[in-house]
Amino acid sequence: MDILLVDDSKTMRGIVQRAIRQAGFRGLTIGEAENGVQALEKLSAEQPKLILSDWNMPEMSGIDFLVQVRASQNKVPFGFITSEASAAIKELAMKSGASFLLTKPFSPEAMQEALSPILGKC
Amino acid sequence: MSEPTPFALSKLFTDLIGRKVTFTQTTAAAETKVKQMYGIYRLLPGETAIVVKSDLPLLGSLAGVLVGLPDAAVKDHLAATPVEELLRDAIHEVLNITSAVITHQGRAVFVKMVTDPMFLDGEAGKVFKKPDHRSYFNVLVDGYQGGKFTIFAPFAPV
Repeated sequence: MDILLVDDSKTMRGIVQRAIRQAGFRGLTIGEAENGVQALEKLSAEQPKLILSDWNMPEMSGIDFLVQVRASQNKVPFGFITSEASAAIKELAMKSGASFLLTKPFSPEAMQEALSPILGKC
Repeated sequence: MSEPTPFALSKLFTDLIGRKVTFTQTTAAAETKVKQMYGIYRLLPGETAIVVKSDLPLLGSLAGVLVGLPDAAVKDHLAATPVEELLRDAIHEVLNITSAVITHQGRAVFVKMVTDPMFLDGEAGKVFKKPDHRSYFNVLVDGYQGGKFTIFAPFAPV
């Protein structure tokens, strides 16, 4: 699995996958989870190159998910894709170990800019 | 609280769906028989709420473009009771993303959507029944149905 995509909205998971392709990243294996709890289960079985997660989700929020990932000594690159756009949220995300925070709605160019340093130029 | 501007709303949705969306601020209009959807937002910090009331066809259009449905298919999906899951999930996401521009003070977090105002409980119910301010918009979506969009806020604009 190249990317683990975590979002409770099936629509948003589809939009993100489309944006990843439009950004030029093709042929990637993308696993999906609906929330942090499901995502942690998937992580126990497989290590992706990158996690993309929503912030507001039922069961476990994105930031709680990130904290648990880091608490398990997992250093996988982690990016948020969220409608949360405040400076305080961005600061909390970065302090907790996120690599980037993309604000919805986002363009394929923004996706490319965020993913290239982690997945390489496409 | 500053009022959300038509420009900010138009830009958000145009960027989101890749089609021209135009919000125009209006005065209150008479109630119609068009089906409505209500979005409830928690306003942080604090425990107040913001409520969005929107014509369902408008939200259906925005959501339909997101998931690649043509206008005719959106109308078919909206005619179903309850609204089919594909479109319902996309409407939920549209209302979630709306939280980014719904207020300029504090942080709005989307809580849930309901189809009937009787389900607007707690702070959302109070704000809906007695808001300090309402912002009314007419919305056009290029090639799709538009509609009315109203924001019920707990503070008057400053």
